[in-house]
Amino acid sequence: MRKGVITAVILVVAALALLALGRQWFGGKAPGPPSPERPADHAAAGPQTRQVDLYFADVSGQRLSLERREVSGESREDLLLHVVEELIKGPLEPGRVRTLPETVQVRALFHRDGTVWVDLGSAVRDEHPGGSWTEVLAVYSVVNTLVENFGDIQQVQILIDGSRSETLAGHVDISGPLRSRIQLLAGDWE
Amino acid sequence: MKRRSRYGIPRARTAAWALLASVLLALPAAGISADLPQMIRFSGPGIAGSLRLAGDMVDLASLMEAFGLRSSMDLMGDRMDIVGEGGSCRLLMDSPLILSRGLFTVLSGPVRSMGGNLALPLDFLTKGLPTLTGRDARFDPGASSLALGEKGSASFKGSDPDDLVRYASFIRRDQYVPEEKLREEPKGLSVVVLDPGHGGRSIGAQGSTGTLEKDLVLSVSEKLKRELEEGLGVKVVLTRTADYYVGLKERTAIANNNRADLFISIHANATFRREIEGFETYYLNFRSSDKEAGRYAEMENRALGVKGGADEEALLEAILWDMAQTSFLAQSSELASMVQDRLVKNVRGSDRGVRQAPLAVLMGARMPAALVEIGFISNPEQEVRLNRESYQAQIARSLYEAIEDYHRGLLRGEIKRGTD
Ligand SMILES: [Zn+2]
Repeated sequence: MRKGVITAVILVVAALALLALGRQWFGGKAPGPPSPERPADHAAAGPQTRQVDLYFADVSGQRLSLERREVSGESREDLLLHVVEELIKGPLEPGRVRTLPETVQVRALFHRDGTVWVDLGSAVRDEHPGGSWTEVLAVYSVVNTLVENFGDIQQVQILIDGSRSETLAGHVDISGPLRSRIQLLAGDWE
Repeated sequence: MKRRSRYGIPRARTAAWALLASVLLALPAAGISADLPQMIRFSGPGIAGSLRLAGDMVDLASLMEAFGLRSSMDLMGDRMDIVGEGGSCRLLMDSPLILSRGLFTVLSGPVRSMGGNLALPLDFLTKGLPTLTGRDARFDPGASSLALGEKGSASFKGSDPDDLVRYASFIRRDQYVPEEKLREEPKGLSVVVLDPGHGGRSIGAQGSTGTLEKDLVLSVSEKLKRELEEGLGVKVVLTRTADYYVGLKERTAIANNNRADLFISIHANATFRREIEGFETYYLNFRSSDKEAGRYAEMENRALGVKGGADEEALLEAILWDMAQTSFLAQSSELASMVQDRLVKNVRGSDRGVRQAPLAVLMGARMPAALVEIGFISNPEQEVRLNRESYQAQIARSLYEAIEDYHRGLLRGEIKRGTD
């Protein structure tokens, strides 16, 4: 009986200690601009391969539509960069339509504290066909693909040629970090 | 379900939210049911007097008189600086946000104009007044009395940034109508600002035979301008009158500065598939974008003491800009539907619907606003049609009719004006 109580107390203390350690470990990180020099997260180490649902457009041009593909990379950030490159390659299956011009380059990608910065080449603006909703689908194919496939990503900031931009190609606001818009699978904003 | 929590707020905060929400919901009810006092007595070392109430709020004029405060209102009439011997704070019209010493505080309700005077929620007495007077303040609602501390005793505390997130998600400026607006006679449109998309280096979409969006939309906008001036006798301002680029914020500013009743941005559509044709009309989504996330991170930094005059001003501008369209969303939705209805009824092309979208050019518009895509120039057939004078005239005519529908709706009182 007494032994049981002691065991319980020890367990509680151990749990509290772990909790405190966890907080120290994961909390308290100052948000700030990405710096490549910072040590990588645990999740970022080593080569990895993942099944990823890529968000393309459907044939109506109104909705996003999924295509599953296996993507790998040398590290977590490398993997994420390859995921965006797969989006740029476009869909392989019928019934889906590309959302980004095929000439777009991914110049860089950083992942810090739940935010991903994707730096795209200026082709994403200059070669984009135009149209408000086509632009919505372009922006959110990138945002949704990254946020919905990776539990540790909450938001995505798109940069063009290394800078923040007011819009992607003249219509859609990309001035800040964006969250996923899952309703676009049904063709609605929300 | 699992998803929601990921892009929602962190879980630990949810409980605090719920608590806050229930407290806030309870507040107005309590204010209404109790017999309202007319005055609040205040006293402290070397000071005593009373403050006038305006409904369940405190009258700003009586506060200023009692504590020797000075104020200045900005030209646009959407913010006011109040200065006292202890410090200053900035009020935003129709908003519960007050800004002081680089920190935002959220009041229990918005600052309102009542019978020509400004009235503030009662919690301003404890949240804002201490900064202005440099004295602590304790408010006893039961006794309608305010106890003030020694001079120099106030220590200003910024509110929890969580409040700001809550604030952004529930504040709608159209939830109340100032008294004087209720008695207003229905009035139709007097100024319409039309925005031909792109221009100059921004060519917009390009058709396979070389049609440029920027040229097409200017031509349709000019036709529509003539129709509106002749048919409705309204003043029409174009954001550009030739082939040059105008910044997106500048376009909205032109509409704001002209005190336009409507803002319509005119674009031509394109997509990766040539088969797609038709019409689409947009208005802004409620949260101007998802950038609150970044915005509140900035505020959190501020709450941690990162301050700077210019930065603070820029942040405030950004917030006001992002919030501007939110009070007109019902009207903007109405406008967008009217535009889409007339287009699909009168002009050959399919109906691709009305949607909300995070369109940069609509943010910051302090009036009902919509963006219309008048056809796909990426579709070879529609491109040919769009180049025809007759087709352009039909589109301009349809847009005219939609604006006329809106005008009539205002006159019949079926459409309410925004709160601006
Ligand atoms: Zn356009």
